[in-house]
Amino acid sequence: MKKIVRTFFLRRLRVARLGMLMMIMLVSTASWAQKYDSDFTQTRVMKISGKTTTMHGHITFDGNDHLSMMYSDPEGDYFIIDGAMVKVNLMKKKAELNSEKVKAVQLQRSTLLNCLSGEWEKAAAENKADTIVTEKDGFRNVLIQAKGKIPRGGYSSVDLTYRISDGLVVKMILEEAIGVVNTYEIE
Amino acid sequence: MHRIFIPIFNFFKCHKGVMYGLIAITSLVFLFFGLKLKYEEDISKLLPSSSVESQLAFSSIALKDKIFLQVTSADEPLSSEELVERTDEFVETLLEKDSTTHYIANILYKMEPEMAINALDFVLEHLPSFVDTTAYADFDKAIEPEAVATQMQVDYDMMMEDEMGDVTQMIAYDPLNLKDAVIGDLLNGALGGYTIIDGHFFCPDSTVTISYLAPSFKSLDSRSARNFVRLLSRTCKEFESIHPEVKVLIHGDPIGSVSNAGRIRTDLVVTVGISILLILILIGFCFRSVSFLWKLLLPILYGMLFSMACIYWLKGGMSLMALGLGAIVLGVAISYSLHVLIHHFFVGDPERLLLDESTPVFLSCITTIGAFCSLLFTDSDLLRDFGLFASLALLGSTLFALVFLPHFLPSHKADPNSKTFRRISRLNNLPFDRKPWFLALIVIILVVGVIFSPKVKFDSDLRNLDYNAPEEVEAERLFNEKNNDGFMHLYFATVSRDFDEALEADESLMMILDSLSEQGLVHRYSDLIPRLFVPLKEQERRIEAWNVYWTEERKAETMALVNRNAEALGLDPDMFFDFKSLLDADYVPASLMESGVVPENLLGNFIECNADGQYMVFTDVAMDADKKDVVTGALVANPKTFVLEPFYYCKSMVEVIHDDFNIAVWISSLFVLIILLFSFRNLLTTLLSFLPMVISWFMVQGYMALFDLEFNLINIIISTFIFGVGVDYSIFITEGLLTQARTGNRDVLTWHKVAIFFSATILVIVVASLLFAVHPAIRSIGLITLIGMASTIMISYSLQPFVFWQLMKIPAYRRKVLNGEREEDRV
Repeated sequence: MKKIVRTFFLRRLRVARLGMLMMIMLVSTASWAQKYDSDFTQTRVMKISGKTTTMHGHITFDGNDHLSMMYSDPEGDYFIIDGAMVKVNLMKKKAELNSEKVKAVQLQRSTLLNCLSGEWEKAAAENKADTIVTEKDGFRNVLIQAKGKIPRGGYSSVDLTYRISDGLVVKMILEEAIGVVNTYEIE
Repeated sequence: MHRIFIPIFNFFKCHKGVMYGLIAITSLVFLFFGLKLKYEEDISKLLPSSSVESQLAFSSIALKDKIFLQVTSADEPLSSEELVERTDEFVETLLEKDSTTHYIANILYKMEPEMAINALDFVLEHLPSFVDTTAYADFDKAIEPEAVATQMQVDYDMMMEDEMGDVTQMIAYDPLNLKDAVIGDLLNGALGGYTIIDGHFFCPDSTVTISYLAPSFKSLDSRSARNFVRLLSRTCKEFESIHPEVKVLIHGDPIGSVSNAGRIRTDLVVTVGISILLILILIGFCFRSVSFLWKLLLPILYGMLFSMACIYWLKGGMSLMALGLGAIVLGVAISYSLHVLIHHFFVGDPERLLLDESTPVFLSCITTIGAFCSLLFTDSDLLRDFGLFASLALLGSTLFALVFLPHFLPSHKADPNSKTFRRISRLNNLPFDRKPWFLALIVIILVVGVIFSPKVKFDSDLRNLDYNAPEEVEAERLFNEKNNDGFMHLYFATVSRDFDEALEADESLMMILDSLSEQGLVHRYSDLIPRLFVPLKEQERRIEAWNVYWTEERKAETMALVNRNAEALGLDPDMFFDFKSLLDADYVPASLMESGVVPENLLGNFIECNADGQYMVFTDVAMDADKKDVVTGALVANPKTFVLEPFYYCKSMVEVIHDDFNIAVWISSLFVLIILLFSFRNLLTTLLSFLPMVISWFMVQGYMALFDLEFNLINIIISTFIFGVGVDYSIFITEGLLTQARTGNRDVLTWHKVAIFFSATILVIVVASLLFAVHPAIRSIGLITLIGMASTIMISYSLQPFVFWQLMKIPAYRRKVLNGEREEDRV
């Protein structure tokens, strides 16, 4: 049973979540439509065990609902949002999910796109979370923190750093309740 | 009978217009109403009355009509990734080819990932509904302090190894590993024992992918089934030629039906082709007349239309299978036309023809009708329809042959090929009845037949009449070998209009299966349904039990234990918030069936609601083939349960038909005896005409037993044909012998023998050609009929005249025979 659960439920969920984290990394803070076409670095830390993985890739985002994150390391991995579809091939796990059919994925997709588009208020509202916004040295920091029970597909915290000049996300830290932290830095 | 038919002949001779008008009008009327006849194709309605559940086994059930697709390596073993790719490619190709025809309703070849996530969500949202009350004893053990400490250490170790976070997530929901007590191997069961790789269904050793194809057409739509199977087979072949490294195998009920129908069609084309060719050569060579053939067939055509119209007026419809079986009466009807035509061939005078032939032909017809009418007393609609159709068809064709046909015959003798006829006459006139060695041989053959006759067996398993193409056999063998450890598997279903009632019946089915499994009768069964689809009332009880168990005190104690151990291991207790939420939540019953979580194409493998609003809950059971009957008998004894195996019900119904048939044989024998007695007005002559039929019946049985042949539903019905022909031949021989005894003129006997010769030759050609058939049902007809025909002819040509001339040595009998002549003369 464990094998099945691992195969079907959790890994797919995890993969989708990873992808979302990556997407969030790309986003800016400004409310105008943000477009991305740059390289990024992802660092993944399991807080419990301290295991850390570093990955690299390229991100493109049309400012609407088409996002692709193509990894060069590990090569061949990707995370793509194509309308309602979320396509994931990360760490040897492949899935294609229709976000309209899965609440958890729907929330993740929506949160990610909202963050990328600079609409963090919406993202916070969907996650029933509080936000703290600060600005320093030309960057705006948005901290979205869960209050109470975290909905499935949600995060305990999302820490976004936008460059004020163009409203693009330069750094994004996503933390799950179970202690998995993904940090994305967009060049 | 000539007193009736000769005046009719003379009337129509003077009123030709009336006769042609009558033929045209009656033919059109019969054609019009005959075409309106409705045909019953549902076999369950043809067999003797049975339970509602067993009738369902014959109905259109999507699960039963599914096609299994297997993709595997042709030679070199392929990796599971390659098999997944090929399967996806094949399905894509197939769907593309079907894009205009739309024969495919859906193909279940992989699990949608959304389904898995939603299913997990559903389980978590309704957790107590899936907790059987027996699980609480395990809960008690799991929440003991020592057990908690041990389990959380295990959790910790697992989380340290976790790279993806999925194990950690699972532990966050269930740090005490309560799921083992709740669902055990539920998810493995949910997948039916299959292995899932990359979302695709594989057999346990991962060498074959399995997909289920649901056709969009009904099982009775044979044309769509044929076209679709053709498309599917072609696609498989094309795909295999593009990818020689893979094999695509298909099997399932629709494939079996189509290959059966295809085999029957091919066999009929071959056998009918061979027989028509030989008959045409025979008739053309002997009679040198084209018109002979249509004169031979016209009465039969008329008789069939007459019968169909009468059945429409009487019943409105009949079984299609009975119509097919009824085609054998053509063999008998053709015999009457032959007697009329051949007799006319010799006498060249229609009136003389009617004088000589009307009595034996009509008497033969009545006795044969009697044989078929006996089927009307049976409980089976199939036999009743067959009996009615055959009787009416014979009546119609005989009346045409005696009323209308003489008017189409010329008033002069035909010009036969004298050399051929001389040879036939020479053969016919061989004194078989005066050769002691031949008679002794016949008696020995007869005695052997009679001795062995009680040993003949009746095979009630219709599967043995089923044809399976070699590719289909291979596909099914691979499926059973890979998925059922070589055991056969059957689907059982519990049924009710109320879904929860069907589920409750399924629960009790599980108890029987458990017991059968312990006895070693059942190899494996799926207990998925009662574990996943819990009736709402049972869910209420389970939620109540959950709430009673998880008191505030127990929840607090358990969480305290979890938190204490988490801290001791250096974990953040907050990470187990999800577990606390599960304990604290308020739960309500919910129907998984209506939740939409399980996609319809997957749900159809477990549950179906038919057009009548009946819910069927399916259970897959694997067993030894030789224990099938015992297991099936035990399971269908459970209320509201049936097996999705029409053959199982056919077996008992066929046995009823067999019993019915035995009764029918006795009734028809008695009827024939009475008619003969009434006609000949002499017991010994009656017995003389009756004897060949009885003896040939025993011989058929005896030699079938001797050659290890068995009766089955098809050939036992065909045996009525042997009865009919046997009686006819003996009546004609008796008539010929009586004429010879009374007048000293042997011509009538000779002419009858010529007609019998042609009738028998044509029938033997037809029957022998059936031996070229591959389909077991068709081949079985050929063998039994050939044995029956051979014995009938042997007896009619040898024993019957021998006994007759021996009887003529008895003065009293001789006197009676001659007095019969004087009485006829006076009339």
